[in-house]
Amino acid sequence: MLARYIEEGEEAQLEAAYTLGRRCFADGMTILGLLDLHRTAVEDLLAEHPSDPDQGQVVRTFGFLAEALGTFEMAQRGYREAQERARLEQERAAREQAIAVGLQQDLLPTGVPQVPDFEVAVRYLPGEARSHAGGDWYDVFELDGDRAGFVVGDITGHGVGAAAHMGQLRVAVLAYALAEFQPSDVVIGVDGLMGHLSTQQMATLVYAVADPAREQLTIVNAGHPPPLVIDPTGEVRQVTEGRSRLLGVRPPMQERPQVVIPFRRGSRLVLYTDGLIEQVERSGQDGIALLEAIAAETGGRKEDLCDLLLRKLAPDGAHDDVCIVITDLLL
Amino acid sequence: MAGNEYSADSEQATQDGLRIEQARDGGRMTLDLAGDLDMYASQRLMQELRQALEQPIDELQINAANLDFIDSAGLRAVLWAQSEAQSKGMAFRVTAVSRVAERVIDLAGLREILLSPAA
Repeated sequence: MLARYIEEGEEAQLEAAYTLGRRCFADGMTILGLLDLHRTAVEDLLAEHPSDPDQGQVVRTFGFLAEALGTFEMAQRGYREAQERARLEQERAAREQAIAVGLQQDLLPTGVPQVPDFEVAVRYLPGEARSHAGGDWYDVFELDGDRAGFVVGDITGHGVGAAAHMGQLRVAVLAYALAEFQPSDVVIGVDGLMGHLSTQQMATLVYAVADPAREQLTIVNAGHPPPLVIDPTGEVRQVTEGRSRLLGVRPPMQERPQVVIPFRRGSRLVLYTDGLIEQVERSGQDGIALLEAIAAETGGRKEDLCDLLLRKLAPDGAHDDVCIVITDLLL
Repeated sequence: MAGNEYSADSEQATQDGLRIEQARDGGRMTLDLAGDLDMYASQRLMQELRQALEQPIDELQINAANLDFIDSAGLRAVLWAQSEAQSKGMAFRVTAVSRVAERVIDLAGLREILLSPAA
């Protein structure tokens, strides 16, 4: 190829050489490696003309070129190392994301928990962006006296660590709740417990206890977006009472409020985490008001409301974790 | 306010949507926050706050009047700075908050802790 280019000056040969050179680089050949290849080719050509007086000059020129290209070789090596590091980092992030999502799944309830008198729909989307999966959780469980407990929570942080902390908090809430502490005491207990865990994270949660016999709902909210209650006539209410600050701020609060509101048969409770309203809030809108409006317009199946909320509020998928728990108290 | 030293990091290539401007006026350092204080930005803010807390100052202020978004990770960074400042005997104050930030602070139940004038 080289001989034909030198002798005939054919552009086609040059083009072919470029292609070959690019392929060599792509396959990992170094700049000096390519230079060496050219040197060998030129030396082969020169060997056919042993009497050429320029031979010594050509050899020295290659030597000089090799020195000059040494710097570029180093730059190339640095570039390739950086590329490799980026690739490894990407792999590591993907692995961490997979582990975090796996851990989340293992630490969350399996399927939709069944409790008598209630029908529950759950949607849980792990955060997708940059190993963002982590800290949301939910729980649904039976309590004494035909009551049922409902929890949604969100711990700060992301990745495997947040998933692990979420598991700890989920169990802590469940343990206090099943021991029949009243909702505000459950939150006080968990907040105190967080001081004994290694995590320095903060968390928000809503814990609601529904009592079908009394047709009442008791709610405690630790720094979490307000739950919605939709009564049998379709009227939607944001529950802004029973609220105190989020968990994990020292010193822990010794007292927290809770609120008891009517929850007649045929009512619906909507619990969610802030991942649901994040996209809307970032665009400057009031996500909770929008959520309330959608819930007011959409009667019918709770599953349909879940899906509609996801479609309207988080159309670009989950940046942060998104969790929705919609519960109907049956007639 | 003459005599202020400004060091903006706007030239730093960042992947998040937060702008942080530091101003030092004698013993008082002010961090002016603008844009989105989310999980990614909060990690960078923590670094800036850590550096600010190393300075020989007696007051650290945060101006959040231009925040467009803040999440719980962002709140955590601010709360962390507050407790660090207090443990070093520094005064700490959130001087102003945007409507959006104020709403999130209220939802998190942190008004008394972050926005009371005595803090």
